[in-house]
Parts: sequence; C-alpha cells; structure tokens
Amino acid sequence: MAKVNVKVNFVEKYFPAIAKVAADDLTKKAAEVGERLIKGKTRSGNQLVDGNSIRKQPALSPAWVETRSKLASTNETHAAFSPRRSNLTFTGQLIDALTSKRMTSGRIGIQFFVNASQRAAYNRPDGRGRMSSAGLPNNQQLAGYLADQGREFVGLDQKSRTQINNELTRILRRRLKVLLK
Amino acid sequence: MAAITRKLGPKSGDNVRIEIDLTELFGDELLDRQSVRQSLAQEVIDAIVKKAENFGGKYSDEYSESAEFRAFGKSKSDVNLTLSGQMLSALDVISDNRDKIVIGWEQGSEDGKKAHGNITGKNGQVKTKRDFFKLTESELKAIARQYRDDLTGEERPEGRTVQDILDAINRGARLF
Repeated sequence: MAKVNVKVNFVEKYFPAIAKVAADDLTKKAAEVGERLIKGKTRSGNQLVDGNSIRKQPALSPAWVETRSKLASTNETHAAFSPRRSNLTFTGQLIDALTSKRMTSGRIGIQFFVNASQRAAYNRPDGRGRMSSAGLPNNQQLAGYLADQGREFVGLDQKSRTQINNELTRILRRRLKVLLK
Repeated sequence: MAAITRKLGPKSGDNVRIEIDLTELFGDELLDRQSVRQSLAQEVIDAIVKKAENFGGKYSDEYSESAEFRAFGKSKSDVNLTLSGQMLSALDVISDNRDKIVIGWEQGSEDGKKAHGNITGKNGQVKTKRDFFKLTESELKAIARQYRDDLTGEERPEGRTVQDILDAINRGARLF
C-alpha cells in the first residue's frame, strides 16, 4: 500500500534548549496548521506530495463524474463537492479522517495520517435505501488504494512547510517575552 | 517624528513594510538586546494579524462560491483575510537593529503582492480595499511600555534558551 502518513521531526536535534521549553506549543501548532492545510488544499483539488510543489489531482473519468452526479441526488454532499471536481471529496468523510498525533518515540515530532474509521455507505442513487456496507474499506484502506492510483493527499508541500515554519518561529519569538522576565 | 511609519511601494508587492523607530520610541536608550527587539516585533505582528483576522464585512458572491472558499470552510459574512493563512503567516521581521525594526513581507513575494492588493484595493482597480496593515502610535507605545525595563544589559541566566531561539531565528532555521 502506498504511503498514507507523513512524519515530521523538529528542533530537538539542533536546538535542544528550545525543544525543552516549547515542545508542547510547537507540536500543537504544527498539528493544527498542518491538518487545516492538508484538508483545505486537498478539497481545493490539489495533490500534496510530501516536500514537493503542489499539483492538481488527476482528472476524474467521465463515467465516474456521471456516477458522482447520480449519487449526489440521494446523498448529502460536502460543501466543496462538485461532480467534476477531482478533490477526493463527496460526503467529506475521507478527508475528515485525516488526523495527527505527537510522536512517542522519544523524538519531538508530528505524524499526520488517515485514521481507520469506518466509512458510512452511500444511499442508492435510485432512492431505495443504503448500499451494502459489507466489504466497505475503512478510510485508511481507501486512502491507500487512492494513493496507489496516484491520488495522494497525506503530505506537506513546500509552501505548507514554510507556512508551518513561520508559525513555529512566531511561537519562539513569543517565548522570548517569558524568558526576558 | 512618528515612531511608526508605513512604507507601501507603488507597484504590487513593492516594499510592504512598517518601520519602527526605536530611538523615537525609547529616547536615547538604545535597544541592545535582540531578544527584546524580536519579542516586541512579534507583538506588533500579532496585533496586525489580529486586526486582519477580525477585519469583518462580507465577501463577494463570486468569491464565496469559489471552490477554494468552500474547501477551506470559510464564512461569507466574516472577512478575515485568511484562506490557507499563507499571506498572514508570511508577515515577518525583515530586520532589526539598535535603531530600527522593520516588519513586512519579502520584497516581490507572492504574499507581499497579495497583501499589497488587499491594502490598496489593487491600487484602486477594485472597489474593496482591506487595509489591515497598520498600527497606531498609541497601540505601539502600549506594546513598547512593557519592555522599558529590559532594553539593555545581559541576557538572563536562561540565556542558553534565548540564544538558541535567536540563533534559530537569525539562521532562518527550518524548525519543521
């Protein structure tokens, strides 16, 4: 299965004193901003390949666009959904399953990943109840399948990394005020 | 002389900066400690970002129906100058020395251009002008007042951490 998580270590290697005083704030901010950027940029139709420039998600096939249109008539769709928009978003449950946790391996860092939450089956396009949930992949399995098809989304492109870095630098500057007194 | 001056170049992305005159702010006492200057500068940045995030007003129908607007879950009735947050996060300390702190966007950067466009209404080409990039003299003085006792002297015993932070900032270290 293709990669569906990204681990980011920071600061302790070069700045142990900083890591000691600000690890909680840094990891919390990195998680908050990182999750928001991955979700928002993916729903905007982008593919986030870790460490690279951002690029558009591959276009949807005409058959899949038609299926999405039919399903949309009987399912509650996400605000960012459009039948033709390739943004891994229909009801929104897959991208909502993107989460993060602080690493516990003794390092200071964050891991972004898709959790293994169960997916809700879609309503049938003919209005006759729900489709079967038997054999339905969970969100982590689906993310892996999509990544294998070239539709990755768990990553931080260069601009996202720079943005998070800027936010972390601000935390350090704010920490100075406490240390001055 | 004003302690705070805004510079805004005529062209998009040109020189979007605020200069803080430390001599004007603190008199003859020179602000020797970079830790104090960086801390003060961050408070100014935080105050400006807060103004932007609470700007208020409504977004246009066209923008609020765009894919990106929906993707980031923005509210039509709450102008906060934040989509991904990249523009505001790029507002930074450009330089600091004993006399002056300069805050703004990197010259010619994509985010500097965005900021310039918002502040000037794309130099008058669009009706909507969102001038969030400012701080009054009294707002600046209220921030500066907190630092009056810390202007000079050695860093405190916790200096190792302070020095690490300054090294990280000065070297533009990738923290992440």
